[in-house]
Amino acid sequence: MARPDSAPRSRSRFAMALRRFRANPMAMIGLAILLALVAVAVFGPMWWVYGYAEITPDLSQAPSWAHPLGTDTLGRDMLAMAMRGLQQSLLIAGTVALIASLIGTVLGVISGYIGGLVDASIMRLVDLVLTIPTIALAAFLGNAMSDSGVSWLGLSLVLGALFWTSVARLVRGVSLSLREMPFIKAAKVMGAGPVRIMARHMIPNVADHIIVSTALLVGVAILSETGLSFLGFGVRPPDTSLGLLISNAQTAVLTRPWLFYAPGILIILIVLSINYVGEGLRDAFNPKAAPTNPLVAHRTRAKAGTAVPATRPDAVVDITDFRVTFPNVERPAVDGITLHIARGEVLALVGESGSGKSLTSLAIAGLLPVGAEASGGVRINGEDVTGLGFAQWRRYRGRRIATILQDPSTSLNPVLTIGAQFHETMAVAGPISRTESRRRATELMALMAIRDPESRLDQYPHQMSGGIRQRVVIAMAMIHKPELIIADEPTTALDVTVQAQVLDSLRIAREQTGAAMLFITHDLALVAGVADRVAVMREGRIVEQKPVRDLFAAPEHDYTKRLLSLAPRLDQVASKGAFPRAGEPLLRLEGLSRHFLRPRSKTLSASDRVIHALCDVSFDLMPGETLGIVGESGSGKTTLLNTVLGLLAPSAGRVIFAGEDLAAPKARLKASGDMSVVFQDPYASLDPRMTVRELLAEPAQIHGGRAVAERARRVLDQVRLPASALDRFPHEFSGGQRQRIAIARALMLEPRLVVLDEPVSALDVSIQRDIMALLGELKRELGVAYLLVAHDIAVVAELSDRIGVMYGGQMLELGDTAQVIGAPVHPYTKVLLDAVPVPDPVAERARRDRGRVASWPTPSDPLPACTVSGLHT
Amino acid sequence: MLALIGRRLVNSLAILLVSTFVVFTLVALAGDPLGELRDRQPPVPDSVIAAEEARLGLDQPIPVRYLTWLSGVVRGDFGPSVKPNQNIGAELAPRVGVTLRLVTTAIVIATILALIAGTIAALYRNRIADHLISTSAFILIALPSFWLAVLLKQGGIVVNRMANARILFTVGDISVPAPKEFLPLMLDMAGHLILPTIALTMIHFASWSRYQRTAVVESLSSDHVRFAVLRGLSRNRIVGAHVMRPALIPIVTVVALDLPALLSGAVITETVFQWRGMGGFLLESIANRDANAVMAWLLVAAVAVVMFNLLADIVYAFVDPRVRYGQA
Repeated sequence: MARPDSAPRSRSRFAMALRRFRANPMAMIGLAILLALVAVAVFGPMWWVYGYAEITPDLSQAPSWAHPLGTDTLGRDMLAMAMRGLQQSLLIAGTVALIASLIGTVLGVISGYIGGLVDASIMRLVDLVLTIPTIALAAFLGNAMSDSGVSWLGLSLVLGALFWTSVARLVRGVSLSLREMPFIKAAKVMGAGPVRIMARHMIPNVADHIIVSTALLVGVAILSETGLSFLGFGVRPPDTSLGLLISNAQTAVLTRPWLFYAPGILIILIVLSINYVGEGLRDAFNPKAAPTNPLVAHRTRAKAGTAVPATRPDAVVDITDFRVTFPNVERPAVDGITLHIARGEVLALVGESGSGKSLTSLAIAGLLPVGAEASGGVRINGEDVTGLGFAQWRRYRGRRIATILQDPSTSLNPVLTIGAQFHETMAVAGPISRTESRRRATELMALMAIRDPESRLDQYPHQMSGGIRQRVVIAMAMIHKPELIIADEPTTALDVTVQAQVLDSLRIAREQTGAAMLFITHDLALVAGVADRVAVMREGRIVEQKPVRDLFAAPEHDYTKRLLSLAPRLDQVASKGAFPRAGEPLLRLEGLSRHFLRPRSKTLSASDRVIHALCDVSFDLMPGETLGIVGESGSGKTTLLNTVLGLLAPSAGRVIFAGEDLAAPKARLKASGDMSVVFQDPYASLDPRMTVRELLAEPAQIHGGRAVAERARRVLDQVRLPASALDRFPHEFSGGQRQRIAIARALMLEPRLVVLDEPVSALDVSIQRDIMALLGELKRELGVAYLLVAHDIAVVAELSDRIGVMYGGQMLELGDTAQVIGAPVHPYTKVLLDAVPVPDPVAERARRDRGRVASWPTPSDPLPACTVSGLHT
Repeated sequence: MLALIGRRLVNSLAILLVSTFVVFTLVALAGDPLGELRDRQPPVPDSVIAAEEARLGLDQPIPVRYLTWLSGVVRGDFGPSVKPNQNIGAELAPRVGVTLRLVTTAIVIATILALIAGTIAALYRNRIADHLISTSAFILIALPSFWLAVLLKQGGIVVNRMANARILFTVGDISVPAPKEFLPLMLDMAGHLILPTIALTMIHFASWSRYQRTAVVESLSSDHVRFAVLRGLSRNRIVGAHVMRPALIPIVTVVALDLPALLSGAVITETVFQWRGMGGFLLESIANRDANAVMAWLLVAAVAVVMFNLLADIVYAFVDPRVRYGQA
């Protein structure tokens, strides 16, 4: 196979797992012992002089050269019996594990993939088997099967039939989460049937879990089999088993200990080695990032070295020549940065992923990850904080430095009420009564414009929206009037209209406490309205550091200029000509609706249970046209897309593609050759077990294309990837390259419509731009139509001929791009446009002084009720 | 909350009904309780066998037999035994108490030990304490329970012999004759419990402690623990409220799922220590192919498991507000 020059050898995930397994000493020792025991069990009896049933004249002998493990009261050689027992135990346990994992895999995959009633009945069956103590039923069935005791196969069958549940539960769990993976959805959209999806995508991806659980099952099965034999219901004389040997030696522990210890130690050795091998396999297949433990303070190593002098003793934070390196990584993650934050100042730290901005903020809070090696000076108020222990850090954390994390849905404790979390935070400064903490928490939440703060205190985090949760977090940051607030991407996980409110809350928090702020973000546009000073980071270094107006007005470094040029400017959208709309539409939606039902509950009436995820949406999409759908989370844009793609059945209305109603039998399969999809997350939308060649070939295999290899090379060329990519696995590519592969796969069958589901939102800003440019070029070259769905109106505006604005499942406004952006009609479109940050400090601050546009929906002007009833479905 | 319990209860009853039917059918199909009688030499007259068949209801089709059995069970009658003159219910009832004593003690102790050991191992991950706990857990998981039980029993005998006094009880669940007064009776029972409980606890505690370790390691690296640290909370508060509480959810499931295994373990432990518990009853019934007796045993076990799962659901709801508010 022609492989270009020095590209590193491509490794499948399996090969990588094997390498990790070999690097695990405990697992390798376990494997060696296990293999040795298996070898003894298989070859030992052939080679050993005595048979296991043979009676020698040496009665009750202690271990000697002639009988290494001694003999029993009848004169039988213990080594021969132990080897026979080992053989029996391994044979039975291995068979049990195979039978159980076979049944478990099949039922688990079916249950997880098909779901619904099938899943419910299989899971009830599992529950049922799980209520039965294995030994009892196995003993009864084994005993009842035949008078002379049960054969090894019979015993294996009975045990296997009782042990499959653990595998089935595991496989079902994995399958359930796999089913929601974009790569499975992509296969469905391609037109793959359930059998193909289960065999080609599900089973290969649960295989590692099955291997691990089968290995561990062998251990469990050995313990059960020996237990049964011990009780007299497993292997019976004249044959022997390790359990039987122990049973016979019960009363001889003191007089003839060799008879008791040898089989016991053999069992322990087998099970122990199997368990180490199993755990080793699990770790090798699912390498997890080393878990963090924030309770262990990170102590900077270079404490003994010369103390770095403070350069700015008056600053709140003063970082000098700070470096963070990780073992086995050549480039330092943070490479000698010098930074200070003055009292009351807002410093924005801007950079893409991997720039080292988060590590810098973690260092200020004393939470560098385990294994990181840091050097240089970090001073807070002139005090050196490198090398502080956990207790010493508590003088700073919470009281003098407050932190706001990125994701408000995970930063609050799910099992404590908001009030309890406020209380414990306040108690950091000293004991405080419940009434007092409630009073202060209510005040703070009212400041954050949270409605009805008193009752919110008794709620749990999951009962609130993301925006409110983040405002609760900000309110907690204000408690001790800190000198510094660290805000680490505080709005990245939020919708754009919510982002505006949270930024307002942050401003209030800062004004009320007079704190300085370190604002960390990847979005340069956000910085314009927030920061006093900006530091731009790239690959561990600060490339430029300036007051905000100077930075936007006169960027010096090339990287800053590039970032600025990449920031989309909605206020500068070039007015495009209207797309010529004549003839037959490629895709037509007629009154498309989709409802979901909330779980039954006493407090909900029947009609309140209906969620109108998609309500009466209609539009036409012409061949070659791009329609962009924009909406926030919960707007129904994803439901719209899934309904068009056939992943969800509509509750009402029709999807008509190329003149055919897709509800008609076979129409969907036919259409799937002309319709393809690119999902948001390029890490999840490509099956990790397939090479690029296999990934690209899959649509052609389903629809029977010819000259597949030729075509694959051609689409790779179209997405600007080299043909050498064909034999590599997805994990060998960067995020941007993976998205190109996903686009290439979408183009394989020369589709007429490509559905783009947030195609760039998971990518870094600079890569976003490349992918957007690629999509634009492909559209011009190939004349495909795009149905684009995104939360970012700037992305939508750039690619689309027309824009649809969705909220609460309804299409509120639909028009030409220039009209929607330039002269929006619906109040919500205005809100949405107004919330987009402008990358210009002067314009952004002027807009803030002007005030935001009136929000929508309001109690007086609500979202109109959905006219399509969902009750009959 | 009450509605939740009610729903679970109905669900549990349904599972019990189906599972007893399936097991009943299996047990009925698996073998002939009269096989031994038929094979007897010299042959037993056909009329005797027919009478025995009628007494045990073997001449009826299985669904009818199940219904008869079920209606009997509801009235507290577990059906005729192969052994004439044996009332299954009366024989089993005191034994259930004996076994439950062992199993509940073992569950409580094993859960507490697992919580402590797992949490310590996780908090000191990859340090000495963790290596010690994890290695012992691995060895304990690999120990066959019967081997450990025999070893403990012999160890007890050695200790008694050396001290020349009965320090550890190695036989039976209670002294014969049992003490009359309350306090000595309790002490006597507790004394007999020591060794079997250790045998049963060790193995399960070990595997549960592994789950607890994983849960705490995961909990430790979660965002809300990081946020709690950044809010300046004390180490005790963080470990108690933010690390441990969410980590209780997985262990509840694991313990509930393991109850049948514990019952199996109890059978072995009781056999070794010669208790008059459910274990001995089961083994004897199996050897006799006494279908109704085995069914009665399985029914008791299944009820225990279902009840315990119900308890786990309730504990769940207490630990996790998301379950309590029906959005998990």
